[in-house]
Amino acid sequence: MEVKLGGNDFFQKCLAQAVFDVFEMMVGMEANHIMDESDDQLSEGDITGVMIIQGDRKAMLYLTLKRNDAAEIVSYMTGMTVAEVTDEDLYDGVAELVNMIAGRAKALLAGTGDHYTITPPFTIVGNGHFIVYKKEVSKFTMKFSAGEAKLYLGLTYF
Amino acid sequence: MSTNLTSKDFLLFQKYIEEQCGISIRDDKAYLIESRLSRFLIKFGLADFETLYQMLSQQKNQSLAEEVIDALTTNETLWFREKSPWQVLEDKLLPYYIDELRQGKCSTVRIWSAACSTGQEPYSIAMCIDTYLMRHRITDITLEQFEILATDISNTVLQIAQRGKYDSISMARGLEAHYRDQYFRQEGRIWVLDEKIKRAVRFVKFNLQKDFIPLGKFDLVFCRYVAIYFSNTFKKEVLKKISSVLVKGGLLVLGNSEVFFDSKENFQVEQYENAIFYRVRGDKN
Amino acid sequence: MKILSVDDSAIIRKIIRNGVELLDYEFIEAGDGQEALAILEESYNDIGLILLDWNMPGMDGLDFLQKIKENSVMQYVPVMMVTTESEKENIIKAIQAGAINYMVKPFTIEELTKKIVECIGEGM
Repeated sequence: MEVKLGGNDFFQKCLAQAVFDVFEMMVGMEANHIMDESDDQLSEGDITGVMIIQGDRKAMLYLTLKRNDAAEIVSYMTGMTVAEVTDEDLYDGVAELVNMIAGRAKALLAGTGDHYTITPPFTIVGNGHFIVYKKEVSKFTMKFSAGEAKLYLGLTYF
Repeated sequence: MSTNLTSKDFLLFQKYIEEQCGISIRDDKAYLIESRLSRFLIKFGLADFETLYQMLSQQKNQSLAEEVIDALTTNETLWFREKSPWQVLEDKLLPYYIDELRQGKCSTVRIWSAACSTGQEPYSIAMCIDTYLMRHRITDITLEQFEILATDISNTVLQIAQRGKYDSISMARGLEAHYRDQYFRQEGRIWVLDEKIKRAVRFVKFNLQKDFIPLGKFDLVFCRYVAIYFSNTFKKEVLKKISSVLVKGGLLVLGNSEVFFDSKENFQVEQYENAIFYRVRGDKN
Repeated sequence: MKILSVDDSAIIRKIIRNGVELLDYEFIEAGDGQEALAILEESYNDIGLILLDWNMPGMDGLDFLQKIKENSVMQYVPVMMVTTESEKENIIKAIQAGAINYMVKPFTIEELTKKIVECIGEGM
């Protein structure tokens, strides 16, 4: 039986699990899904890592966070101090995070007959940028906290 | 098909898993069950989690049960896993062992950490003992009078354990600051264990299917969270073999959420601070 | 003994460095296949293991692997894939192309060190 990639709760849960796993294994932090109305809010941040996912539908997966949160997370991942983390490191780190989240979610879907291919990640940088969609577009955003940091993970189908 | 885990389903699974596999799933980890087990619904063409639960509780499909355990098990190794063994060690066992040593009733206290993996458990035992001796200003008894044997079936983990070096994420798993500060030094991103604690543990490759008698007798055996991977028959066999290598009055420590049916044959159950311990029965050994 | 990490992400290479140095091996790195080939040409004798990413721009991991397996001296350097790619058929592809082990991202340093020891310890 095929699980449809689009509009499915299950995939969203795999993504949430992927976030927990990536943060636990690579950052050493416990990520928590914050379930409040912000699920529908604009996710505002300074750095966004993006990947395109191609399953039976095409989707864009993104991870948005503020610069200082990204710096803290990268510092934990690598053992560098926050001061040692360069801009390059930040952009690379956020891209790798979304890359691993997508990869991990994909692995969690293994055996379900549902799978997708992913592009290499890229990063969008711009202080206080946010992503705007047409209202009818099918999407979801999840807000997480990890330590003091806040992150937004979103998936938009197109 | 519904891949939604209802709270009723969650409680059923939580209980089943705790009883059958010895793993306790925290309430906030319902996601774990849902995301990791959803694939079984699809794989076996089941309608919902309740059906999966039925399948498991009927115990007809051994390989399904094993796959479920495998899917739910995380592979992290912890320092000082759970509070109770360390509490019983400090409150009851160490005072007793020190007394025995002082009275010359034995020359060494022998402790076995079976399935020691990357070394956190046996090193925790050594650190616990050393700290106790220091705290109580005991100078006539030393760590050297405690022999800690740590075994595992895998050469790989033993090689890593023997180095006594850990990364910061591994260090964060259950190691309190005072232990870290007392027994580790930081070299770049790596934490290095004190030589004194390293020397206190002997690592040996050992397969639990083999005969235990050549290992000698032990005062205390830690066999935690490894029997959950065994078949019921093998688990029974291992626990029975442990009873035959414990000294009179020797103690077996399992994981707190591990269930040991039929323990009465070889052990008497004791309780301390909400945890259960198994003392080898007096009419043996 | 040296361990070579080939990955287009400097952050991943930094994380891998932590695991390699924890085992007291010397860490060397390359950001892509070309750089890695150049390093191998010079030091293939000193390199005990290559940790290879799959999805890299330009020459991807599989191409790189096939290339070194065709080389008379480089072919003997053992390779472990370290990648987000988890599909069984792709894992099989990598093993058939000559990788001796496989580790999926995300990973813990503990797992990384275990896998490195597995690869080197087996004397492959």
